[in-house]
Amino acid sequence: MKLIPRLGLCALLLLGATVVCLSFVPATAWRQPAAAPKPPELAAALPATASAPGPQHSGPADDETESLMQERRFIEEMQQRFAAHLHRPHAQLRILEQLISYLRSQHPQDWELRIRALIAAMFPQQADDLHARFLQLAGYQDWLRQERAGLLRMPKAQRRAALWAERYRSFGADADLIWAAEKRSQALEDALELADPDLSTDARLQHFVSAIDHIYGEQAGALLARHKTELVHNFLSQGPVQSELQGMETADRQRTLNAVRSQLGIDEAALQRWQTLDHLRDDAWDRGQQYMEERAELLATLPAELAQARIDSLREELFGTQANTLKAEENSGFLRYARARRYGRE
Amino acid sequence: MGETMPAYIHKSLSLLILISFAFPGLARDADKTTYPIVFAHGMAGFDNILGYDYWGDDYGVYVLDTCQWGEYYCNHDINSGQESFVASVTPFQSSEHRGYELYQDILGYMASSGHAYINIIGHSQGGLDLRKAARLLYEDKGYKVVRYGISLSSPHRGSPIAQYVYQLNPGVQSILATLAEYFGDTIYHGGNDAIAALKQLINHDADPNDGITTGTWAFNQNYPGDSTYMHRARSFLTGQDNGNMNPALYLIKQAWTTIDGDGYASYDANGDGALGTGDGDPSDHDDDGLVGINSQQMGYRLEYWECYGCLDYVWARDDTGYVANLNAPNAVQMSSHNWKINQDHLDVIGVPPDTFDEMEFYAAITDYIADNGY
Repeated sequence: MKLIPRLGLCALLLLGATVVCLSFVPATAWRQPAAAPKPPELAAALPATASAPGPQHSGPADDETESLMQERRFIEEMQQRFAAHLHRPHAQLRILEQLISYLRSQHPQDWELRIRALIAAMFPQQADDLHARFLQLAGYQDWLRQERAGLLRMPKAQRRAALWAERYRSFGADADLIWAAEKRSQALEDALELADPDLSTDARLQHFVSAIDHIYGEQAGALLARHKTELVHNFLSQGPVQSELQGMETADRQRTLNAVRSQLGIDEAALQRWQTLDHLRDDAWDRGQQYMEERAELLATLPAELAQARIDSLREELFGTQANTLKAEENSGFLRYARARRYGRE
Repeated sequence: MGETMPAYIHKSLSLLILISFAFPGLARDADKTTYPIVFAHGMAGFDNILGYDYWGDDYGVYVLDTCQWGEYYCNHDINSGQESFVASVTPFQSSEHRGYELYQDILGYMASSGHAYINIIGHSQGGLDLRKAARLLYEDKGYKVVRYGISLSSPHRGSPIAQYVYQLNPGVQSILATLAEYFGDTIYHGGNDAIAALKQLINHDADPNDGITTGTWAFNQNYPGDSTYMHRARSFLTGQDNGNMNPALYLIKQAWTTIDGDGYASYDANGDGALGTGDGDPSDHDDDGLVGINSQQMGYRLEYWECYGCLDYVWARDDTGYVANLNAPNAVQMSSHNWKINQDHLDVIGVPPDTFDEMEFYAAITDYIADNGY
């Protein structure tokens, strides 16, 4: 938890008494929110009781005063939180979303009529720009609502193109900044999915690693550090990669898996853990294949009831603690070892 | 129970908030959890390679993306060391199948990260999947790997929409085409099984003559939502009126059927595919477009408080009790609207248009988990 010295402007109703306190806060940090203790720790320090009201204000209240003070707190918080990022189109939309959410909660009947005034109270210097942005957002969301069903029916590439066309129409070049994160992850996805299907796994890996570097630049290392497992899983799930892995000898496959993991950010200690997991999975799938063969034979040669009893015993023998779970799976129609194995993922 | 907030504690909390306003004090952002958070997605899943479109804000920023120095497109409300993992399972499949895949994904993540324990947040069907993964991890490792198992808008006791589509009721010409229309063309990709996916989300065995037993009732017997295989089971409930509903969900309701999902019965009394019944008023915010509130509680309910002026809060609530047996919630647990989040099924993930602040919501969950030791 960050510790940030601050003075706040506040008014809270407490046990029927209105308390107002005035002070000032520098509007520089991204987030210096109204301070509050951690309720679970507080709860732990006190004995439990029965049901409780929500954390809304309670007790007699001057609703109008309370509402005004709450709005003032909200304005202050938003100023502190977003002042440093007001120039960013993405931050502008997040401000507007929170403004709309706040106004809807406080003034569900006429929130739209109040938005311009609240924007002006919050960021007077940027009020016109923010209101123009609000109109863009409202138009884009209306379009999304109207076109939603049609968009869903489209193939993925067509849907993506339609969305971007509308974003540019609504927000101009700022769309690239608003959806910058999505744009990067779409580029990464394209690098993986649109690669030449005839590339070898090794060549495909080099292509993917180069794409990560190109798309994320100096943040590529951070991406690998945070999402290495997701990247490995996605890379290994590609059809051509699985086809190649399935055709390999065990030792070659292990080398390939190690290379993929290593290049996508898995360190040496983790590689050892992965290798242990690979061996456990190999063993499980060997037993699984044996099980499927013997199971088929039992079903083909014995009366149904007897076959089931023998299959139960076989499951216990081969899978131990997971035998009952496998039985539940089979009862539901799922036979995990009847499927093609996804190497590197199971 | 240390993680809940009784009434008088709320008053004490107000006092402390007051004090902290009045004097230099502590500003908070979400603490780092002891164990990483694993995200388990719902039916259909995501297009995006990393799942940012699902577990992101409406502009594709991942909800638990940590900020490094000078970085903007990240979650500024969480600890820069927060660890998380986005699992990816077959979009349309039974939870027997998807839960097994989730378990395998988690084993891989544990190998990469070296962690021995994890927390799971599962949205929609992901809340069912996480229960199966918890059991498999327990059987594999010999201990409860899953600390917090938190479901969000999950149809633990079935969804009337699943049955409506499965039975090809009026307006549904084809299961595949219908799922494609409302969830996108992912359904046509290899490995999906639309029938298995729908049967999973119907309370009872949808087809007694197919030689298999499906549905949430049987699934719940094998994969409980209590502390047998995970340390703490918790759940968020969502429900919203039709007017504020995501158009994809509203279209479902407008074109087909309206869920009345806040009545008690010990069986599927109105035959809609979900345990329980209605209260005669389908328009009283008793569902989120896909799931009635009487299907959603697992363990204790969680309350989400959207705070205008501070980081949002999450608390466990005990006034509706603890649902240990998912097939036998009591009348309060099936009909109470307490602590329901007033959002639809898709608002709480990165599916626009909405004004729900996904970044703060998941930061608040992270903070809740961290503050309670996991």
